This record gives sequence, structure tokens and C-alpha cells, in this order.
Amino acid sequence: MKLKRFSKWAGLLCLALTVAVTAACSSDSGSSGAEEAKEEKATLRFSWWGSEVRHQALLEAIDLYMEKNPNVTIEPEYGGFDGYYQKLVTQFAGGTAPDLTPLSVDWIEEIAVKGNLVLDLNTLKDHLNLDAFDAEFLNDYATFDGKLIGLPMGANGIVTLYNREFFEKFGISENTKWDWNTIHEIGKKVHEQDPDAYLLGLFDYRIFLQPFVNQLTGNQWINDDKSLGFDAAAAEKAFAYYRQLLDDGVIQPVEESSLYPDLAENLQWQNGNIGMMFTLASTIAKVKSYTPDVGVSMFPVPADAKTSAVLVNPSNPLAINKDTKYPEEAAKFASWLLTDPEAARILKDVYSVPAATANAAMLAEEGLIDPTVAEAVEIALSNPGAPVNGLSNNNELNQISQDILERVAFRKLEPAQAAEELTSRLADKLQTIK
Amino acid sequence: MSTRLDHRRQPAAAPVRRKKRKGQAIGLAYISPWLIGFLVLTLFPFVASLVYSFTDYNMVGSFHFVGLANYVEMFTNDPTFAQSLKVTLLYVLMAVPAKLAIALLVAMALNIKMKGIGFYRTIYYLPSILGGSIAVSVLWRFLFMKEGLVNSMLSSLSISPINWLGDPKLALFTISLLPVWEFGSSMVLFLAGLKQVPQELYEAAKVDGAARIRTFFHITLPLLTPIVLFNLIMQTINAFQQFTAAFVITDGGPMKSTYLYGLMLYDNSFQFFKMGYASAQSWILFVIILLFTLVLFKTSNRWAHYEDGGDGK
Repeated sequence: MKLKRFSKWAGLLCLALTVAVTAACSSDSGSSGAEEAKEEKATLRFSWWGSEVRHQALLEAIDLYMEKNPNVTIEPEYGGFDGYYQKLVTQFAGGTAPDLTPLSVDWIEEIAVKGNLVLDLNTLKDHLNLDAFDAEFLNDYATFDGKLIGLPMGANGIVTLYNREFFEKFGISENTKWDWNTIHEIGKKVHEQDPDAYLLGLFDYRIFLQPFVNQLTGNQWINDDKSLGFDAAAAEKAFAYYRQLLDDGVIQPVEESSLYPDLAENLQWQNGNIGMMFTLASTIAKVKSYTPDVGVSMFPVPADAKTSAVLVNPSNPLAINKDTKYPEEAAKFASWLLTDPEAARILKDVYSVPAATANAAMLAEEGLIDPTVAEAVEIALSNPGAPVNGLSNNNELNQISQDILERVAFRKLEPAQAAEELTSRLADKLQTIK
Repeated sequence: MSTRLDHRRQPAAAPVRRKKRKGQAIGLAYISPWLIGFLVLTLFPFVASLVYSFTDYNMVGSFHFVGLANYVEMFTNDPTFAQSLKVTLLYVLMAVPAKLAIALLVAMALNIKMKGIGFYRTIYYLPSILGGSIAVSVLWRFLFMKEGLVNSMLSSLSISPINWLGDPKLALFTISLLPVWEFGSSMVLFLAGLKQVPQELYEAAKVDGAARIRTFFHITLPLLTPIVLFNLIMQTINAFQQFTAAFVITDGGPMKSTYLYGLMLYDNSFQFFKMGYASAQSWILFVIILLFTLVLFKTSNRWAHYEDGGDGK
């Protein structure tokens, strides 16, 4: 009897909870409509990640915008990069994602293409100053499946970044035109001269394996039709070359470097025992905080390369949530933030060099951009590789490449075996990807 | 028994029932925070994950039922699953016994009558409060990195530096040392157990001339076995779910040598967004933990001794 009564209570409670949970989970149908939105005050949630400098700049820009547009309230939500993606996807799944958020390039496939969670900005053309951007840049790097998925917050590209002091110490010319052979030759000499010194730190699939192989084949890493853009022979060449660099002391031993996926944090780099790295322009500010005296040059491209494979991308296209109640207001704000000269003067180079060309020129002229960053972007854009497609950015596929590259580095796999395993595992995994 | 109760209740049934119902309502209201938390944060995700484990749910799109495909995939076509399972078992085998041994050792050391012993007991419990945190994991990384404090101490003893975290053969061992440091809760239980051991037994052993080691193995340990069993089960369950240390210190590397099960779940769910697959893997972990616990319970008949014979009489 007691049990019966309890279960009745519990049943009621469960029912109440179910109703509450269902009500909480069902997302706003958005029936309020755009008409209503115009009359009421628009509130936009704008979320981003970054450093303190970036936070300050964006907050200042937001204040200015709200001052000029009293009908718009922008609620900033900001923090670090760690966990940002996980949080964002969870918010999208729960219907509580912000109205505006930058996207990292490797999320575009999941969020914008497969997930279809952000607006195609071509539909909001009338509220955007798209002319401020280079049309080709927008088309190549921010348009996917014919949809403009965001406004580029800056232009970004990969370069060779070197420690000037190190180059001077080992008599390496800053004008060296780097390709994979010169790296091997010069790196070997450096290590022979000083057993504690290495020309390079750890390689990963993105800065080495993919570009090296793409330069050999001229293809994407993974083709759009889900076939591999390379064969085992090309991969074997890459692995063999990598092993050679490790054997000859061109690269710091992997046992020492594997703890630091970010070379800027590697103590040997900070101590000046590693000479150069391949990195994106947007990370230069961070590297400089450890090693102020750095220079930049072109990413290694062999003379007979079929494509430069120099990675260029918009640093974080600013996307608008498909479920936003105020698409037009969001578009107006995004456009102002990234094209207005006044906003550009506030943001400076917190998102690398502005993608709006006139603003970039203006900031350079006024000396508001770090000259190394400006130079890096200019170098990368002078010989860009083909824009990397979604599948070549797929996290799961890249994890496979990274694991195999690591096993080659630890000498657990010979280059030929590694190439065989890489091609077969990627092909297997590609079959399961929809 | 129930007839007797009913019989007694009958004369004043209605008011008593109302009173009881009111009492139950108040009781339920008091435990409702827990109840709601349990239903929404535990039971619902629990059931949802079981459902998801038969789908291709990826958080952003619609999902489809795929039957047992996720389970088949992990056992037939996923080398990282096998690797992670191997690493996790090794980790449990290293971390749990080490932690229990240290906990017992410290408990014995603290089981003395001395002025200020309470203070020491508190001090020794402190690491457990900090133990699982990110901060301690970061500290561990700095202690054991090649240029870290442990190696500088070794070098002052003229021992050449050891690559604790960069060597795939050593990294897991180094990681499994971290939870050993969090022996506090097991230690408290051991301490309580030690206090229960009748002093007459020690006195008798002393009279018989037994050495201290013999006393430990023939009196202390047998009487502590119920607590050993409890600690063993709790710590094994905990160890199977370890995540923070591997995530912060090595991120599963080098060469996946510290790729614990928890980390694999995290990667599949929040890096690759294969929520359906990760849910299936969580259920396999649940079954593994369940089996381990059952085996421990079953075999405990042979080695856990209860003074009352173990059946509570």
C-alpha cells in the first residue's frame, strides 16, 4: 500500500518533470517574426574566443556600435579557445547558440556545411557591405556549397617563421628560399655544429604531411568525391623524408617535443635552441611574446611543386546563427564591425590583417598593424594553395594521419608500412563518412 | 506482518492516512532537489545515451537508427578502441593497487596515539581534495617533464634524466602515479577499520612472540579485508573513468600510450561529434565496470573475512 502511494507520487512528479523538461527543450519556434523585431529593441548575443587584447578591442567596438545604434543591444560572451567548439556545438544542439560567432576554419564542415546551422549571407546582401572585401577571397575562402557562411574577420596564411638570433648564430641567410632539400641540408649542418640545436621542432599533419603530399600530387588531400588525393607512393616519400630529418637531427627528437603540440610553448624554442617553425600569421603575436625577434618568409615550396599548398584562410569567418530573431540587425553589425574604418582602427590586428582591403591598407599606413603579421599575410597571399576542402579538414581523418605520423617519428612504423596503413585506414574511414 | 499492521491501523484509518500522506509529501519535497537532479541529470541522460547508442546522432543534424552498427564497428574496425582498452586496463592494474597500498601504509602510520595526530590526519587528506583537479595535473606535467623538478632532483643524485612523459613505455606509469597521491578517502576508511581491530588480538600475538610483519599479515590484514574490498571496488570504478590526468598531461600521447577510455569517449563525442558511437562506447565501459565489480564481489567470498561470517547475523 505504501509502495502504491509512493509510486503515485513518483508518477506525478515524473509527469511534472517530463512536462517541464519538454517545455524547456522545445526550442523557440521563432514565430515572433521579423515584423515584430523591427519595432522592439533588438538584442544580439555575440560570442567569441581569444586573448585579452582581442576582448578589449571587441568590447570597445561593441560599445561604439551601441552608441550609434541605440535600438540594438549586443551582449558579449567571450573566453578562451579551450572548449569553445564543444560549448558552441552543445549550444547549437540545445537551441541556445549565440546570434553571432566566429568559426574556426576546421569547424566549417560540421557547422556550416553538414549541420547547416548558419545563415547564407548572400541572402542578406542588402545589409552587408560585401564590396569592401576582395570578391575572389570571399568566393575562395568563405563560400561553401554556394553559401557565404560568414564574413572573414581577417586574412590568415601559413609562413616560415624564424628566430633571427638563431639564424645569425648559425650563419643562415634570412633570404634563403626554403624548400624541403634546403631544410635538410641546412638543418643537418646546424645540428652538426651544435648537438643541442635543431632547425625545426615537431611536425604535424597540417604543416607537413598534407602540404608535402599535395605539392607532389597537385590534388586536395581528400577529394570531394571521398577518394584519396594521393597514393601510397606519395605518402611514403613524405614519411621517408620526415624520418630522414629526425635521423639527421634536423628536427628535435620526438621524445622531447611530443609534450608540446604548440611549438611556441616548447622550452627549447623559448631557449633559442630551435631555429624556425611553420605557423599561421594569426599566431605570430603569441610567438613574439616568447621570442620577440622573429622574421618571416615563404613556406617551403619546391621548384617542381604542382601546387604551392600554402595554407591561406580567413581567420575565423563571422557567422550568423540560422535561428537568430534579428538576421538583419546581426548582418548590419557584422558588416560594420568588419568593414567600417572606425571599427578597423579599434580592432587593429586582433584578427590578423583585416580582410577588407581598404582597411588593411589604412592600418598598415597608420602603423596600427604589427609589421611581421602584415608581412606574413602578404607573403602567404602571394602564392596561395588551393582552398582546403571540408573533407581534408575532417578531424577524425586527420587524427588517423597524425597517429601514423607519430608512429613513424617513434620508429614504430617504416615509411612503406606507414604509407600502406595510412591509405587503407583513410579509405576505410571515408566509407563510413556520410 | 502486514496483516497485523493493517489490523492495528483500521480503527483510525482515514486521519492517519491523511497525516501519513502529508508526511510523505513533506519528505518528498525535502528530497526533491536530489530527486529532480537524479531524474533530469542522471536517469534521463542514462536512458538517452542507451537510445543514442543505436543511432548515428552527431549533435548537429537529424539522426537515424543504425541497429548494432556502432557496437560492431568498435569491436571489428576500430584500432583505437582496442588500444584504449589495453591502456585503460594497464592503468587500472597499476594505479589501483598502488593507491590502496599507499593508503593503507599512511593509515597505519597515522593510527598511533600522539599529540596533534588530528592535524596530521587532516594534512594527509588534503591531496585528495585537490587530487583530480586540472591544477594538479598541470603541476604533474611540470614535475615530470624532461626539464622538470623530478629530473633535477635525480641529477643531483647523479642519475641521468628520465623521459617520464615523452617515452611511450613510461608515460602511462607516470600518469598512474598521480591518483596514488589522492589516497585520502581510502586512507580514512582504512584508519576507521584499523581502529576496529580488537587490541586483545595484538596483545595475544605479542605474548605468543609474533613479529610485527606476521602480526600484520595474520591479524591486521585479514580483519581489514572488508574495507579492502570496498576500497578496491570504489577505486577500480574510479580508475576506469579517469580522464583529467591523461587529457591535461599528455593528451593521450605519446603514440596513444596514455589514451585512456575516458579520453577516447571525449574525442569521439566532442572532437568528432560521433555521439551515437561514443554512447555505445560508454555502455561498453559500463558493462566492463559491472563485470569487474561482480567478479570482485564473487571472489571476495574467498578472501574477505567478516567477523560475523559475512551474512550480517
